[in-house]
Amino acid sequence: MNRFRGGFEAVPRWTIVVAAVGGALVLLPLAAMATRVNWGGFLALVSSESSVAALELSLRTSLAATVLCVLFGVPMALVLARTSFPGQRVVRTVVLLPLVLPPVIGGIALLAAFGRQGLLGHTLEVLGVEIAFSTTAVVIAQTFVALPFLVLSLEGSLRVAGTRYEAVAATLGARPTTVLARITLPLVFPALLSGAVLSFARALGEFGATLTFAGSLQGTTRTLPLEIYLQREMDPDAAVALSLVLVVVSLVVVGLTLRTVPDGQASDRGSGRSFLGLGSRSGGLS
Amino acid sequence: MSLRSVAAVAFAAVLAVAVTACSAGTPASPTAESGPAAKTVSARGSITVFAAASLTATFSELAKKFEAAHPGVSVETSFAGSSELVAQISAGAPADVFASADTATMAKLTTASLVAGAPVNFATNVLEIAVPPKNPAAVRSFADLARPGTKTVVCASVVPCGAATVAVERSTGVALSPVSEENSVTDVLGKVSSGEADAGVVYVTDVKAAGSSVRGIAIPRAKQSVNTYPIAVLKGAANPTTARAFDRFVTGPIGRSVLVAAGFGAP
Amino acid sequence: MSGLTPEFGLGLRLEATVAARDFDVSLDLPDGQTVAVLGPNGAGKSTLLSVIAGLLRPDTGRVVVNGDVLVDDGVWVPPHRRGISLLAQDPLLFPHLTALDNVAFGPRSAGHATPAAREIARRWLSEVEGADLAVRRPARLSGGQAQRVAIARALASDPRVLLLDEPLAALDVAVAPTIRRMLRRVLEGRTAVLVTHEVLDALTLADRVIVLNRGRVVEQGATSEVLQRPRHPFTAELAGLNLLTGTPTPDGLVTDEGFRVVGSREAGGTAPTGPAAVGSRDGSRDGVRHGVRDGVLVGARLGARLGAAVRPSAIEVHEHRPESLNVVRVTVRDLEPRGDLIRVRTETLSADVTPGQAAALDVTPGTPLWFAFPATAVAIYPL
Repeated sequence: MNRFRGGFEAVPRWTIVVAAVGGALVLLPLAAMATRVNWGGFLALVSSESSVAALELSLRTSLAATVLCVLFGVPMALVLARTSFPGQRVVRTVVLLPLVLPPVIGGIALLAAFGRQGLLGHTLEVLGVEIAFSTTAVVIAQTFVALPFLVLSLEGSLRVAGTRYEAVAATLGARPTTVLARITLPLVFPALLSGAVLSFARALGEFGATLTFAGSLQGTTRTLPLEIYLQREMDPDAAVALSLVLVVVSLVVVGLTLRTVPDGQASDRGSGRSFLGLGSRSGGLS
Repeated sequence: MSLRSVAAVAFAAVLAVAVTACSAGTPASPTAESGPAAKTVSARGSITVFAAASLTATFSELAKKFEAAHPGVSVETSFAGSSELVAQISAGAPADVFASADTATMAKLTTASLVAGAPVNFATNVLEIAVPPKNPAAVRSFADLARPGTKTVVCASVVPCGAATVAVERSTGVALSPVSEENSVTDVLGKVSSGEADAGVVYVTDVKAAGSSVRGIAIPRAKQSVNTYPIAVLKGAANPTTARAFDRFVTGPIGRSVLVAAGFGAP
Repeated sequence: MSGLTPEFGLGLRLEATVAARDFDVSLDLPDGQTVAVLGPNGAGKSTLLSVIAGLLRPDTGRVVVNGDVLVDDGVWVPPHRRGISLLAQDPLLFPHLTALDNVAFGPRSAGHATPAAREIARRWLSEVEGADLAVRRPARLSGGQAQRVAIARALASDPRVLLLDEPLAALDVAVAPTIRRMLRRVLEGRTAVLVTHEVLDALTLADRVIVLNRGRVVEQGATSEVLQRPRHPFTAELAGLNLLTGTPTPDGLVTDEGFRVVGSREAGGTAPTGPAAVGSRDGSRDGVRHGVRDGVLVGARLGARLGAAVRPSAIEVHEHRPESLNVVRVTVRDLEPRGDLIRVRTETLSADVTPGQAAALDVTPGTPLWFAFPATAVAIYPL
């Protein structure tokens, strides 16, 4: 990705300086944290029973939340990108709200809906579904905060991709569901993948809503961020070590997607066309 | 160490515009931070008081009363979990007085030689059961909390209120299986007042402060494991005279009456 | 007019209005024929295709294919159940599928199992001389190869009607003739609607032409007929003819500006020849149309409006007024190279001259000139 290999630089030099400051703002705290790690006791700290339980729970719930995000997010993105209905802008704004909402507020809102005293709490209790203080609550909280990432990423990609391939597929006799499965989703797969990874990362980092809505119990609701927050009270070394683990897990996940997506596109290079085959003509059948 | 200083220099350089006097260096020892020259000798100027979260209501009131009694003095207060405050003070936060929710936490500061003189115990607090106003699980005693189906929320054992809860469990012989172990009393209380939990174990002062949103049920055996609140003037105090005056004010009759009114016991 | 199909006959029958685009068009296409849709940008050509394909719902109207009502009051057949496939300017091959699977997409959607669908796809790929492209991804195909695969894909779904939206417009001039020949072959006997800007496409590929302008059909008929006797300035421009319109005189017509044109009204025989005649592909059909056309001509009433078509190459250009039947004073507006000739455009007529002539006359924009043409070079016909 480095394009500063001599020759013409497309950016004024001062932007590089400012960009470096911005980069330092992100990198420095993480690097500083790494210097605080008690490497001698690192293995013992991160392999303690509570740490392993928290990491395992975090991965499990984040994965479940990601699956839910894909399940609900794909239709949501399709409806937002491909249909028009009155109040669509309002709906989009509301759907994306968890993105900017302080997580604690998300937790309070979830309590109001799914809590024992909440809107659906009684109905759920009658149905024998107990959400309070359960792992389900963690997954719901994570899905709540992570869903907008998938919807946002996918909706943008769907809009960019346009409907021309879909129109062609329909005229070839493909039913709408076939078009979705064989044309639309493969075309936006990179966006779906990166959206899912962002959702996973967001779910992994979820703290506020989980603490408010789900509680904190080892192996059931105490995810890694909650464990870190708790350890901080007592054992700062353990908190730092676990933080490093979370940073590394997030790095690996994000890094993997950033690597996979361009690799997938590499086979289509050389034609001068973009991955989605766009660019030659915008109108088509307008 | 060299990496750290390089990083500090780099960061200071790139953020030159945003740098302020107190954030320029990496955390150094508090003595190095107490640069500003000593202030006046009598109770004057301003002091900063760090106090445990459970003291929020009482210390806010005491700060006002202290200001009224000493014209020209201003008291800044900062409330958080005791452990959190100790971490801040150790990192060089500018505080004159520290009031902790338990002696163990205060001990960390005395061990680190950050306290001027000996801490003074000024209040005690005992645990109590908090239930939603309608008491849906019909909790009457500490033993009821261990009944299957009763959703009990407690503090995690690594925070002071959780440690106290473990002590009560030991003395009563009742082993709880809580549905959640929260980070602070506030979180426990929140779960109870919202009706999510059937019961929570918190301080008697918390139940009192929560008013009608929860009901308190006393735990007789808890009297054996009271929490003691110590207060101390810090070594790094910028205004030690006024700090000592505030210290005496809290341990004196006015402090006592305010604390008792909030449900705290005598030390 | 010939070619009108009965209500439930084979072929495509359409009438549709789309208020938002000021579109009001009806079209009648007999089974097995190809109609070329010509018209300037924004004339409604793409709207027409979208309505037929089912990608756009008309405000009012009716679309019937081979007797099946696709659109009517309370009737709406979705695109995937119409059996109408679409070939666009951009091949729009699905980038994630191989050429073979692109072509197999239609048969698979129709319910064929993958092996059977691929077998059909292989046959169609061979049909477009693309058997060796089967395993390639679209990104690895050249423009011409991609369009060949797109043709195979459009045909593999066995459409009742094929829609073509400027299928050659995006291709290199070197590749277009090959693809044009291929289309000519596959369109034989097929019901198809071809939108194009190119008169050559209309001549080589279509039996009939309709000309759209501002959402209305302004001309329609047999291809050679429409192109030889344009009634609309756009068609005349496309056919490379000068079109003068006016009211009848005993020996010709007089334009609204008062220019008297003397010509031959023995229609058919004196129709201007030129590129229009070169490409017509079916002599016998042309003959039939001429006959029909002649009948209409004979019946032209006095007082009706007439058109006069003159080829630019038939116009002589003079510096001084020549002795001739048809002489008009013009001022040069601009010059445009046309092969080895130069087209001299004026407000009314255009003439083709050799570069030598142009130099001798010192022609530049603003130069006053005389244009002259013999009566035998003028075809006069009713509008």
